[in-house]
Amino acid sequence: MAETSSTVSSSVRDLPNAWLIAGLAWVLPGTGHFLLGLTRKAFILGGVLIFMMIVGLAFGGRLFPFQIAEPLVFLAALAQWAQLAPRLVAEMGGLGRGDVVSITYEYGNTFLIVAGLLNVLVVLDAFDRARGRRRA
Amino acid sequence: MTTHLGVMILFAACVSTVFAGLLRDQPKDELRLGARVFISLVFGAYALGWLMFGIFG
Repeated sequence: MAETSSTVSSSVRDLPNAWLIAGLAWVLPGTGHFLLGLTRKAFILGGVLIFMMIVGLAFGGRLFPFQIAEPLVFLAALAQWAQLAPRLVAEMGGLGRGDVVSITYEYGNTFLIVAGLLNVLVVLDAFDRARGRRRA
Repeated sequence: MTTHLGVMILFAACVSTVFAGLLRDQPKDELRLGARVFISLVFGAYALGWLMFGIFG
């Protein structure tokens, strides 16, 4: 029993800071898994999520501002901010103004919002793995 | 790539890749789950589209 306890406490102690991992995964998709040593998974997840953001912007999607008066706009903005660095880079690059008359405008919004929401799942997965709840 | 079907296939491919990466750890298992999610999304949306066309069209 004592051996089991010491093994468990040792493995918990060796795990990286889960909150730091989650924070970095929020900043840049895939970073959390990369820091946990899951390089292949990190590049796949990060690559797909950033690709979705690029497609969303290319389709004329809009980077929504935080507007409390418009609940759906507020929620869309919240989802999009779930990828901090790509969102900031796109905004600083003058992208995401939203081409409302474009036939792909709504598709673009969908890609941008879903990319953010999927990154929330990626962040939670990295957090769970860093806490030892899943095999890292 | 601006057709409904083309965009849907692209979207389904991205979503299924992320879910497969999150829910499975072995590459073979990831591929199998990713394929299942992708097929479910594409054919599910296709079937639902025809169903709605039948009801409301």
